[in-house]
Parts: sequence; C-alpha cells; structure tokens
Amino acid sequence: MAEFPIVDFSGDGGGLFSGEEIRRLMGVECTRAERYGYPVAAMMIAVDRLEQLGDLYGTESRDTILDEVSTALERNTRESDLLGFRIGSHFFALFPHTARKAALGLARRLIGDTGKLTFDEGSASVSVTLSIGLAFRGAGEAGRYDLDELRSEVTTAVLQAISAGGDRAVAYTPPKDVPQVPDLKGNLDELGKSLETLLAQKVAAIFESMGQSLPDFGGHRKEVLALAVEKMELAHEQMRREHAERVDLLERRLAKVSQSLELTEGELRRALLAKGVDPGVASIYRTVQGLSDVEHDLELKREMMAAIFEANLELRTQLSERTGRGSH
Amino acid sequence: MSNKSDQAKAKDQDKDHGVLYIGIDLGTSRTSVAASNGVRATVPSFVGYPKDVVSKKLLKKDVLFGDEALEKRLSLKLYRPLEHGVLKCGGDKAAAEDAEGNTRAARDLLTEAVRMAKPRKDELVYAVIGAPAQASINSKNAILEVARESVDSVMLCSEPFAVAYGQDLLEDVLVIDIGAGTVDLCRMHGTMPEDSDQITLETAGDFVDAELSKRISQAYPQAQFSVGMIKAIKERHSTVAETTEPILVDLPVNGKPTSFDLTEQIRGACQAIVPPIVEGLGKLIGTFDPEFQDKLKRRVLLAGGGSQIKALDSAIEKAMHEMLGSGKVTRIEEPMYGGANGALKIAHDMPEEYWEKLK
Ligand SMILES: Nc1ncnc2c1ncn2[C@@H]1O[C@H](COP(=O)(O)OP(=O)(O)OP(=O)(O)O)[C@@H](O)[C@H]1O
Ligand SMILES: [Mg+2]
Repeated sequence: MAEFPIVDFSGDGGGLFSGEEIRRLMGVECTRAERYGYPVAAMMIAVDRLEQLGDLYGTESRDTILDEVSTALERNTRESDLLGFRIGSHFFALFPHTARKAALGLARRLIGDTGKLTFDEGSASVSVTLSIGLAFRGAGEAGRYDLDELRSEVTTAVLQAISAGGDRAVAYTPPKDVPQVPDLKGNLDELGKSLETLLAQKVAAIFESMGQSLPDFGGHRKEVLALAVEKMELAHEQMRREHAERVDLLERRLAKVSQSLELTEGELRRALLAKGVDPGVASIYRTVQGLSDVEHDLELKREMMAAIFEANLELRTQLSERTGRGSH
Repeated sequence: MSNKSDQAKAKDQDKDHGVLYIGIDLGTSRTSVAASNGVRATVPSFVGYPKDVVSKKLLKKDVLFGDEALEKRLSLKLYRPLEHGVLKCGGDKAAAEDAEGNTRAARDLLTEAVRMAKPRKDELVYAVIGAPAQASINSKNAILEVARESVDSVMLCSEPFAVAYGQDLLEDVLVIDIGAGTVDLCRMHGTMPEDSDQITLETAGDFVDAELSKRISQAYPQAQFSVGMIKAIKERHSTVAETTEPILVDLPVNGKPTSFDLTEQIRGACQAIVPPIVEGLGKLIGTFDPEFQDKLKRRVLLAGGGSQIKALDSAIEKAMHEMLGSGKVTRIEEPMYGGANGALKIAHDMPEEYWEKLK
C-alpha cells in the first residue's frame, strides 16, 4: 500500500519509479481497493493555456510552470497516499482511501493554491490556472475499479473543465443512457401492420413447433393478436415493476452504507481529535473499513451475522413447509 | 461550497430513512424496543380485549396494552402471551388453553411494539427479535409467524447473544439476565448457545417480591400490603449494599399509614438471589475449556430489569471471589434495554442482502 507519495512528476522518468512502474502500482492499488471496498479517487490535471504561455515566455517557462504545479500537488497531498505521474503536460494521480468529498476538497485546494502561483519570468508575472477532471470509485462499485476506465473518465472530465473555460474541477458523470427511439411519426400505421405480421408469424411458428397447422381462429385473428399484445404488455409491466423494486432496494442499501460511513468517520474524527491526533483521511478509512486491528472483530461479526441468517433461513424453510402441508 | 444540489441532498435524506431497523426484546413481563431512529420504548407484556360490547363502547378501544390493560382488567379478557419468553400458543405445551387468543395477543403486542418505534409510512421495517436461548424450534416458529405480519423482514436471535453483542463482547462471555420470572445464565462462544451453555433459575424478580412479602409479614404482622405495593417498594429501594441509610416505608395498619424500617427485609430478599446465581456461574465456568475459564470469570455481564438492584454487581463479584477464586462483573448501561439495544445493533450490522432474502 502506498503510504507516501509515489510519483514521477518530472515527466522524464527520472524519479524514483518509472512511469511504467507507477502505472503498475496504480493497478495493484485499484485491485486492493476493490477487494477491501475502500474508495479511490483519480484526477487528471491540466494547466490552462500552457501552449500560449510557452509561446509568450519561451519553452523553458513551460517546464517551470509544470514544476510549480507538481510541487503544489505534492504540498497539498502530504498527508494522504498518492500515486501519480506526468504524461506530457498532464498530471494523472490516484488517491487511495479518498472518497468523493475529500477529493473534491483537494481539487479545490489545488486550484486555489496555484491561482496564487505567480512567478517572475523575466520581467513578467504569470498567473496560472488549472483544469481538473475527477472520477471516483467506492463501496458498491465492485467490478468497476478499472484503472483504464478511471483514466478515460478523468480525461473526459478534464476536457469538460477545459472547454468550460478552465480554472475549475469537474467530476465525471456517466452519460445518460438515452434509448434510441425510432422516429415513429407518420408511419405508425405501417408499424402496426408489420407488428401484426410479426406476431402472426410468431404465433404460426409456435403452432408449427407443436406440429400443428395454424387455425384461422374462426375469423378471430385480430382478437387473438390483441390478446397476445395485451399479455406481452402485462409481462413487460411486471418486469418494469420488479426492476423498480430492485433499484429501490439498492438505493436504500447505498444510503445506509454512506450514512454509516459518514457517522463512523465523524465519530472517529471526534475521538481522534479529542486525543489531539489528526491522522488525515487515509488512516481513518483504513480503520473504518477494517484494514487495521479491528479487522479480526469485523470478520467475526460477519461470520456471526451469516450464522444468524442461516439459522433464520432454516426456520423459515421449516415454517413454509409446515404451513404448506397444513393448507393441503 | 458543495457540489450537491439541495434537491439531491433532500433525496439522500429521504433514502437515509428508507429502512427502519428495530430490536425487540420480547419479555414475559416487559416488551422493549430500540430503533435506528433513536426511539426507545417499553410496555408491560399485557394485552387486553374488551369482554363485551358495553366495555368496548366504554373503553372506546378494541385492544389495550401494558399498564392501561392492567388498570382496566376487570372489563377485559387479559392475556400475557409469553411464558419464560416463549409464546404460550406455539410451545410444546401447545395444548395450552386458548392458544388462538394467545396468538392474537402476541401478534397485537408485536404490532404495538413496532408502532412504538414510530416508523414512517414509506419506511421498510427490519426487525431482530431476541428469543430466549432455550426456546424450542416450535416456539421460535410461532414468534416468527406472528412477527412477519407486522414487519417487512424479521430474524430471531438468542437473547443473551444480543445482550453480549450490544456490548461488543463477541466471544467468551457470561450473561446474567435477571427478569421477572427467570434468571437466565448463558455462556456465549458463538451465536447460538446450546442447551449445555444455559442455566435457567426461578429465583428472579417475582421471587424477590415473594421473599420480601414473607419477610415483612414475619417482622411486622400488623402491616397490610398488596403484591403490587411490594413490587413498587422493591423497585424503588432494592439494594444489597452492606451499609445503607435506613429504608423507611409507609404501610397501612388498620387503614392508617405507619412508618416501618424495611432495611433488613429488602436487603435480605434481594441478597437471596445471589447464591443461586453464583452457583450457576460456577457450573458454567467449571465445564468450560480450562484455558479460557479465567477469561470467562472476568467477562460477566449483568442485564435485565432485576439487575438494577443496587450494588448487585459487587455482591456477585464478592461471592465469586469466595466461591470461584476471582470474578469481574459488569452491569450494562440501560439494563432494561440491553436485549433490545443489542438486537438493534445486530439488525444494523446484518448485511442487506440477508434481510432482502428473508422478505
Ligand atoms: N430497580 C429495580 N430493582 C429491582 N428489580 C427491578 C427494578 N426495576 C425492575 N425490576 C424487576 O425486573 C423485573 C423485570 O425485568 P425484565 O423487564 O428484564 O423482565 P422480562 O425480560 O420481561 O422477564 P423474563 O426475562 O423473565 O421474560 C421485574 O421483576 C421487576 O420488578
Ligand atoms: Mg428478559
């Protein structure tokens, strides 16, 4: 686990670790975070109008600016874990144990800090602003802790930040799934007809599969088709309802998890502050999510909950067998 | 600055209240609930139904609970649906008279317990009910069947386990639960205590009441009192402390209030429950893995309404020192809610998918 910054912000691979190694470590960290269910945040940072600044003040000025940004980045993340490297004029960084709120706070601090970063280049004074793209993974997103996916999300987000004028942080939001609705206007009738034909074919196929020829339904073909359509609609409605219930349950679960995380985090903060320690976000998450001494107890509790559940499941089975028998 | 819109926050808060978790301690004398919305409530385990149309008109209710039911008992058919924490109807004494009435009373009592927890209309209610460790499969089934009608998902767990879990003591603990009808001693090393982990004594709250009545009649034959008065006196003054201020209580003599010194009688009656408890502890400790016996002696939890007797923890400790060599007894906070609080904690720690599977 990264307990300190592992970074190569020089962009030339001259750091302690090469970009390649850091990328690998990031991958490892993602897998670990996924396994233990702790949050990670990814960030892509770009310096606004870097090209123009370079044109104005000479290419060396670009390196100076990038150096300043990497210093600011390290300065502002001293207490948290940080893995990061520079690709050309962009910085890509991964923060384990960092949830959405903390990451947004950090991005805001960075923007504030570099805004003040006015340094002399010859006689001129250059004021630098940043665009930051963020993406997060947390509890309940197992299966989605993919470094490449995170990287493409922060890239999308940083591009949004830049095109909105820069000097801001943008968190990645997945595009809404807009279902492709064909343009129905004007040819509804046609559609209805082809639907009818399609249904008729289906019905015919069913009869055929049973080794029978299609009866003419005593001239009630229309009614039979209408019935089939109605049944299909019912089934569809049922599916939709079940889906909505499932989503509702998942949302309730999510709310519970985030609520109890917030509570625990607050509680721990209070306790630790009372003792005069400020451990930063990272170690709090380690404690809360069972990566420290309390891990044993948590494991035991999980086993106990499973045992209680099993016992109740068995009771329940007996009960339904009994009442099942009783009603026969 | 927050990047969440107020609307989104409001929605989140809505969802925070999406599930109400409750822990229920279904006792012979009291039913207590603790809920994740902070509600704690308790009601004596009595359920009464108006005997006839006239009483029903007068009482303006179909069913009464707790103290109110006791108070109006003359116009009610009164039920105490649990016996030793076991449903009277579904137990092995299933032949018990009026099984149907008891089932209905148990169902109404549970519904009342859920109502006391004040769930909101849109909330799902998930409940854990503490059942006595020795409850038979049949009586557990009976409780489950009744409970499923008033909540969305329900689980039973052993009551001493709930008490210990509530204190974050997960392994190797002895729980003493002093109720009205029984004292339950239970050795915990896992979630499901077996028969051999459990000792039930009859020397509980009701026994102290009887003992106190006996001692007062012997010392002061002229004093007049009822069972209810004795119970109230006990709950107000109970102690086993070696030195206390004199306990002076007014009791009627030929209808005239007269002051009596009941110090010795109260202390004696309360002290009478200590030796059987310590003897029981000795048995549970002596038959445990020798390597962990000392640990067990140091982890004794005192719970239940009867544990509120003043200085009871140190009296049991002292007797443990004399009879077993050592001992450390901890009285839990909120002894009346020990079971319910623990059950609530279990409800909250229970993974959601388990709850959903049992819906
Ligand atoms: N302050 C007190 N001092 C002594 N005894 C008390 C005190 N308060 C309550 N009690 C006794 O505690 C008993 C009730 O305890 P509790 O509510 O734990 O019982 P219960 O769980 O309903 O019964 P059981 O465990 O037998 O099913 C009663 O006998 C009551 O008189
Ligand atoms: Mg009890």
